[in-house]
Order: sequence, then C-alpha cells, then structure tokens
Amino acid sequence: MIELHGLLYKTLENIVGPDNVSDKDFDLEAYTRDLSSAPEKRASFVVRPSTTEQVSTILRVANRYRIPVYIRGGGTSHWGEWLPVQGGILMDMTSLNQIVEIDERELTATVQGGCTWFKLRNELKKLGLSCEPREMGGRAITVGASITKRGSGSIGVTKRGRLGWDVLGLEVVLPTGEIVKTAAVEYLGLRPFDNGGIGPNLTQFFIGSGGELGVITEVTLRVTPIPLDAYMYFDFPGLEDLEKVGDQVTRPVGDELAFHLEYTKGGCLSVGSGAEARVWTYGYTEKELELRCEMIRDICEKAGGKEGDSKKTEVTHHRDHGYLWSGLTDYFEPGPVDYVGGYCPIYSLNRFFEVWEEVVIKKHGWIPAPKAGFGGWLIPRGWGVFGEFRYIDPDERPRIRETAEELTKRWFELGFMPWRLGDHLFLAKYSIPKLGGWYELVKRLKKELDPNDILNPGKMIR
Amino acid sequence: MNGGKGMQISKYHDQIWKCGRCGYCGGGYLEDRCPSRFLGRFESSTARGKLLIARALMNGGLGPSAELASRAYECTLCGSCETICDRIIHLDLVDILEALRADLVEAGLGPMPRHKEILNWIKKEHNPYMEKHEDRLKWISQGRNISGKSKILYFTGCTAPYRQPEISKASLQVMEAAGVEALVAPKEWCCGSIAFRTGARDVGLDLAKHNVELFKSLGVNTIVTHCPGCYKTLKLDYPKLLGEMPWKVLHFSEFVEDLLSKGKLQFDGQIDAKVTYHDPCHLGRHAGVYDPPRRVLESIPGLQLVEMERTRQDSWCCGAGGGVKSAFPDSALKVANERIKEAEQTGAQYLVTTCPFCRQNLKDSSASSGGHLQVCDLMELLARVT
Repeated sequence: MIELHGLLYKTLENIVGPDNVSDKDFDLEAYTRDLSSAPEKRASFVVRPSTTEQVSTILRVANRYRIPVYIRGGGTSHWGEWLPVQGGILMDMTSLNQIVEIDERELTATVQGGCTWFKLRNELKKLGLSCEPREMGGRAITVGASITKRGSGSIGVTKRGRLGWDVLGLEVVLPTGEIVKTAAVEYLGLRPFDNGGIGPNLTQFFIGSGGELGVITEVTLRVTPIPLDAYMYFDFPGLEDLEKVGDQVTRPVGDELAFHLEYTKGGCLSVGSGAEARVWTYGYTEKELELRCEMIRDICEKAGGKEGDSKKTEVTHHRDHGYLWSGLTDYFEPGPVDYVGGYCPIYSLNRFFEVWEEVVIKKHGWIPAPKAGFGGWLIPRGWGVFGEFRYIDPDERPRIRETAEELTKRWFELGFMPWRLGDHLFLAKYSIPKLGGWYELVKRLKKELDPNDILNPGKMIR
Repeated sequence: MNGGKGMQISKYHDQIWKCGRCGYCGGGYLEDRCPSRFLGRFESSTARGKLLIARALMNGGLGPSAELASRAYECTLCGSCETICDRIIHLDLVDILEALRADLVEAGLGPMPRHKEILNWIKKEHNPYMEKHEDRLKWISQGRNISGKSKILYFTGCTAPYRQPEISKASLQVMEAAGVEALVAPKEWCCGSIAFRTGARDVGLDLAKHNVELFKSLGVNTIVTHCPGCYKTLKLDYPKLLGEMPWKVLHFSEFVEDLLSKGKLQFDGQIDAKVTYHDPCHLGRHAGVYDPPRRVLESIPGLQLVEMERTRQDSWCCGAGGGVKSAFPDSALKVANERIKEAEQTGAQYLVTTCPFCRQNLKDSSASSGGHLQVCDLMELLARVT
C-alpha cells in the first residue's frame, strides 16, 4: 500500500509538477471541512491541476489505480459535497481560474471552471456587464462548482432564474479522462451563443450533477448589461400572505423572474413574529425600474405587506457588496451556519414553517434567535426553503444531525425537493428511496460514464 | 501538542471554532489579497486552512512538524485576511497566526533558522542587522544635538539607522525645519517587532521592558517613529503586555500632518511628479493609518498622487513582513514584484511608502526587474522641500 502511495505521488508530481501536489498531513487537514457541520474527511493527496489536459491525465491515472477523486472549487459547499468520504485524491480546481474570453458583442463570457464569481464579476463590471452568482457562498464559489450544484439563490436568480439557463456550453472532462464540449456548435468552430442547439441539451445534463458525471473545466455563460437596482423591504403578518405574493409575482412570467424575493421568519434575520420579505429588482431605465417597484408594492400591499426600510435589503443583497455575508457581523456571532434546504410548492410555504417551528424550536429547542432560522426565496412557482442552525463547533454538531434528520423526514412528507442529494444531513437517506425511475436512469448514466466509480464516489449516485 | 492545554492558540479556541469557513480570507471575496496563498497555493496557506490546522493541533488530530512550521512562517502577517473577515465576522486572525508561531517556538520547531540567528544577535546587540549597538547613531552628523530636554522622542528603529540612514537623516531634517527639538536615545533597543511576529515572545518582552523603562527615565510624552513595525509594536503590543502607557505614539506621517495643519512646517520648493503610495501593512491594516500619509503627500506643491488598484485596507503587501524577507527572501521578492507591476501601471514616477522595510523590499524588486520606478520614503520627499 505504501508502495502504491509513493508510486501515485510520483505520478501526480509528474503530471502537475512538485509544487502542485501534496500528501503532507497539514496540507490535507486544511481541506477536511466545507461550510457545513459534516464530519472531517481527509484525502490521501491534494492536487492542483492548471490545465484541462492535466485534469484528464489525473482521471486516467485514477481509473488505472481505481482511486477515488473528489473535486473541490472554492471550498464553500454546505453539503459536504466535495469532502473525500472515501479518501483518495482531492482535486483543488482553483488554479484553473482564467477568464478565457468576454465577447461584448455576443454577450458571452468563457471562463475556466475554477474561476470565482468574484473574479468574473470584477472583469465584467469593467465592461458594464454582469452575471450574478446564485449562491449562498456568493462570490467565493467557483463558477464550475456553482454549475455542479445548480445554484438557485441570491439576486442572480432574478431575471435569469436558477443557474442553468444562462450556461451556454461546457468543457467537461469525463470520469474516464475524455475531454468533451457539450454545445454542438463548438464542434462547428463557434463559441456557444444559445443554450439550445442541435439535439438533446448536453449542457443541462451536467448542471446539478454534483460533479459526479464529469469535471467542468470551462464554462460559457450569457452575460447582460448591468441594470439599475432597486431594493425594497416588506413586513407581513404571516407566511400565508407571502404565498399569495409568490403566486401573483410568478403567475404572469413563466420561468423568468423580475424580482428576487427572499423571506425569513422565526429567527435568522427576522426578529419579529411576522414574516419579512426582502425584494430586489432591476430595470434598464428609471421608468422600467419604477414600474417594477410599483408592481411589487401593489402586490405586497394587497397581500397585507407593509413597506419598511429598504436598507434592510440593501445590506444583505447589494450588488457590489456581495450576497449576505457583508455587514452582518451579529448574524454570525452565534457561530457557523448549517442548513436543511430545498424547494417546496408555492402554497406549501406556511406548512413548511409550521413543521420547522414544531421540530426545531418546540421539540429540539434551537433558541433564542438567531440560533435557528427559517427562510428562503421565490423561484418560479415555488419557494426555496431552508432551516438553518447556528451551532457551537464542535459541541453542537451531533445535535444538528439529530434535529436535521427529523426535519428532513417531516419535510419529505410534505413534498420537499432537496437542493442536493449529498450524504450530509440525511438527504440521500430520505430522498433516494423516493426517486425510483429517475434515480435508476441516473445510475445507468453514471455507470456508463464512470465505470470504475472513481469520481465523487459515495455522494449522490450510489 | 498537549491536547491544546497551555497552547497559545487555545486562548483563541472559541474564535478558531467560530470560523464559518467561507474562504473569503484566502481570496474568495477579493482575489489576490493574500500573499501567503499567492506563495503557498494550497489551502494550508490561507487563514481558513490554518484555523483548521490549529483545531487539529489542539485536539491531537495533527502533530507539529518542521514542514508545518515552514508553512506557518511563510506568511507576512499582513492582515489582509483579517480585514476581509472583518466584513463578515471579526476574528483576530493575525493574533491567532502569531499565537500559532509561539506554539511552534514552544515545540522547538520555530522560528526559522535565520530568525534564530537574528534573535540571538538582538539579545546581544539589540538590533537585527548584525551590527554593534554603539553604531546605532552613527548616521547623526557630529555636533548635532539630539540629547536635549525635549519631551518628544524620535524612536529611530533599527532598519533606517543601520541600513537606510537617509530616512533617519530626512526625518531629523524635517523636525528641525519645523522647529521641533528632537530627542534621540542612544540606549534605544530594537522594539521587538521581529520577536513578536516570529513567536519569540520572551525575547520581545525583554526588549519591551527595556524600552519602556528608557522612555520613563527620559520623561517623554510623545514618541515619533517612521517605522510602522515599531509603531505597531510601541502603540499596540506594549500596552497589551505592560499596561497603559503615559505617552502617545505617532507615526511620522501623523506627526507631519499635525505640523502642517498648525502651520509649523512649510514647503520651500515643489516636486513636479506623479507618485503612488504603498500602504505598509503595520501602519494601514494593523493600525488604521491610511489618510495622514496621503494628505501629507497631497500637500506637497506640484505633486500628483495616483492610487494603485489595490489600496488602503485592500492593499497588496510588499512581501517583507512577518519575518518572510529574512527567512524566505525569494518569496518576499515574488510578492514585491506583484506590487511593483501594479505601481508601474499607474504611470507614476515615484512609488512612495512610509516604511523602511517595505521600501527596501520594493527597491530590491524594482532593481531586479530593471523597472523605472523610484522607490522612496515619504520623509525623503519631504526633506527635499523643507
């Protein structure tokens, strides 16, 4: 075994150079946790490829030796997604961080998978363009990782919806090492300019795949001019009122949203007994912006909302400050955050809250606020929904697991669709048995693409 | 490491466990702010990674090693991580990183060999430059009175008197031009910055005690220094270790700004040049002094100040601090090269700083790359027009 370790180290060193591979215990220790309370997992090697070809060679080597490979972007996953549960190689993607091309005429940006949203936003901003992250991890998350989890939150969800619509094409290294482009037009010598094209949409196939079907090494995204922003804030007596708002806002627009509406109740950012809604909207002219503000004001007020100080929204969602983690020191005072989260239908929101309150507050006593919180945001005909815990690390980690298992189980009974299928906080345990034919098909595809099960094993697809 | 008991980092136990692991410190929020990450590349070079390492050291999941020590010391302690963390949840990251070094010293793995040589010399001759103590004031021209009854002490530090006397001379010249009677103490010892930064706290404490006794014996009410390392140590570290001090500590940029505002210092020339200003980490991020040097520069007739892209609290470190220049000179130069490139992009003729240590490292970088920039200290520019 030691001989194999030495052989593998030498091989990895030959691929990426001596400065980009390590098996030192302290280097590996620094990669043992993500944002969540998931238990520490230590890989045997960490490797930092800087080219697609290096990624490909590493995967071919991993196949030869049947060594697991876990893919890590900015390290901000809150699902234990990249934690090396079976050891092996941890591939740190942050050296593949270049902006390949920004096409101002076609309004596309092509970046390497390890490029952070911050870096991309910064370059786009210089050109008057934007493409917003859809992540709690905000700007620290890499674009490639964001795609593997199909981000759906933050102000980026407004206008373009969940991440995916604006992903036009990918370069992916398959688990067996082949390098492919997902947009057919790229084989015709063009950069992707549309997310449709010839035949089935292979780009979408990899979006939300948890990094288990391939390693995303390059991404082409749709970008837009930077719009004007407006921030609004409303108080509501309860979440039933917000359900009506969600219905009215999403009814006429199909899958495109004009507003990012985030709500909280029972802790988290909320301090009162009612529900709070933070609204961000955009426009390309003052008139358009004004119209949207009038529209949302009208809908909210008819549903019982009372307009409040827009700064409460601005501090959490400001375009330039990044998402949430800015200027909210008190919010993080009780400790790191962990979540049970996913989506629910539009008229289920209040019921999800009631169950959360019953399980998290009344039964397991996650008080006082902001020790625990309930919140989420509007998606087309539904809600993102999460129960969050601020915990004292490491003492309260077992307590989170106990509470989260019960909450997850109860929410599944209500029609819960989790954000991800990672093994953290029992999502796989409760969701996989319900996924039937869909899961069988995914497993077949995984087996076809990853016959030796070396890419992110032990996570979503088992 | 003893299950964490008695470890210096255990004093920060709650902070270490409170880290939310967002990764903003290592470049997620503002890319290219962390020189340690720039040099080390792996997560263990970031504050987030080092906090995970600290946890493992405390709970016995990881043992200290020479290689780990090397990783911990290849950090300039610039505080970029801390100012980014301040935007989210405040953790005393620089203090934690220094405590980690103190534990490595305790474990016999730190500081780095070159630091040990320097610290041994400091114990003997009270300066880190392998020079004799009696040569400390050689830069002062004969006949100049620096031992008067003034209550204002010019604390010269070690770098300028021994290696860049032009800064010390310029500082004294500016004081004289403003009619300030300067007191320079021949018994001044190294402030201890290098000792505190490299985890050799006992050495630092001895130096601090000596200097505090000296200041008391001189009856000073104001201490002025041009060295941000000394400034931080005298102003922030000494009171933490030895209690509140009865004197105020000023950086020369603050002192000169005050002289200008009171009309005590006037210019008799002008400098027709475009300059850019490099914020020393110990002065800026660590002590919050950003505006005085800029205001002084802008007050010089003819001078045009232009900012680099990374400035003030988001400044890119020069690469020299935290013991990096002495223990890892190539790394220090790599970091400085980035700053020189950035300064050149502004089109400035001068890269001005207010730290002799930054000045030296940036000069080394500029010279090695054959750049056109003239690197100088604020006091040198002032001396030309006063």
